Amino acid sequence: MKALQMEDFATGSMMGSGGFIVLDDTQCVVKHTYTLARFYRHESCGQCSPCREGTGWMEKILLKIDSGKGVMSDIDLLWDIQRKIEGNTICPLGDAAAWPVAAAIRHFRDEFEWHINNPEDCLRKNYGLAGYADEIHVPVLSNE
Amino acid sequence: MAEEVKKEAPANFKVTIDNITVEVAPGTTILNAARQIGGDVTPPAMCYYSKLEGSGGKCRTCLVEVAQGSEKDPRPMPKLMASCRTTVMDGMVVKNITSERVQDARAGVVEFLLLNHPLDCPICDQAGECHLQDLGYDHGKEGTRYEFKRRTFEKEDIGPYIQLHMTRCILCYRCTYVADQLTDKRVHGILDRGDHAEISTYISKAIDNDFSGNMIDVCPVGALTDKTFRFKNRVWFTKPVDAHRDCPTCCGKVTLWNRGDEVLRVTARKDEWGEVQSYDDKARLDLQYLSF
Repeated sequence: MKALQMEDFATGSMMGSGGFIVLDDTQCVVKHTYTLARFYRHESCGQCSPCREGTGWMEKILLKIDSGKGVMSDIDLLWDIQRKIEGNTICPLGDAAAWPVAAAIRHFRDEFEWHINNPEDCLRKNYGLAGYADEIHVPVLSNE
Repeated sequence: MAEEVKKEAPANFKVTIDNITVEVAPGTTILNAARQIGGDVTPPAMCYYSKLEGSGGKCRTCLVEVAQGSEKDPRPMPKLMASCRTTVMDGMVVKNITSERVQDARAGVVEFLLLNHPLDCPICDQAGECHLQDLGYDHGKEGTRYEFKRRTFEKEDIGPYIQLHMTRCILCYRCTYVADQLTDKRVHGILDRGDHAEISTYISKAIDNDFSGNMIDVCPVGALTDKTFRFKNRVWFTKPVDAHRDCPTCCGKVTLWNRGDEVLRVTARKDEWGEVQSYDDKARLDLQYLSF
């Protein structure tokens, strides 16, 4: 029997360092991403500007989408912010803050769009498994 | 043994920045090598200050791409490097304005720096000699995409000569290095962390020492302004005149800022990179009293 290895989890997601988080269909990916962003914003030390300002900005946009006030351009904005934080900070906390947001948008973009298109529904119920009628496609991690 | 190694090592390192090759002494940072070339290839620096030990690496505006690490190890560095904290290697190839990636990252950093900046330039004393204004003009985008409430702080009075506007601060940490390295009995530093970090003094204690004026001069934005000059005039209406005061404790090199015959303020003399040599407040005050 082969033991599970780090490479088995390499699906282009970053929801923890070498660990994994299991979420069932009653959980909301947007809410979960917001929780992670809030954590990184709180942990940012405030020395370098991309991390200090960017983590707070991402947290505010995710809260906005989660509370049903988002607009479609916010998703691209989030993508652009995480791209500009990643790799440009002193320490890897900036990278770690950017990756969960990138992973959530990469894999669950339709859930973000559902939140924006259904601002009232998203406060009452979750996107849920019904939204993923097709099997979730996990792309092979590339260098990009 | 150490001497032998020293003999073998080349006297100077060759480093190529934007296709211009320059020879610099080992241990020089990329930023200082670029400053030896001068002109457009010099990355902007908001937090680095050559005279303050340990400064730099925080604002990330000086990011450059290292396309070739050195002669011996020509691999490129995967991330953009802060040029103020990266020392050159022999045969290093650096891309600054020739790299799209650097320009893109720098525009992002400028947007981050301006995110919580109040943009109150019309009522700011620093306007006209503000490094953030220059940076935004040179490398920034036209608008901001930030739509939330900006971070604000109360104005704070820290000492007889300095007014602190924390809302304008970009947390470059230069003034804390001045407080640490030039003055005794430091009472001034950073409180808290993250996006609510702020410059302050120990329980609102006044900064009262001979070198406190240097903090005003090293501040790249209008966060620390000179109380003797506040709202007196706009910088671009005044004319700088070099002056000297024989001073036993400082270099005595100052600049008087005149309008007509009246001396409106005294600052340290700045070089082309906006950096000063340290001087003490006696020079500032003596010359100012002379003029009144």
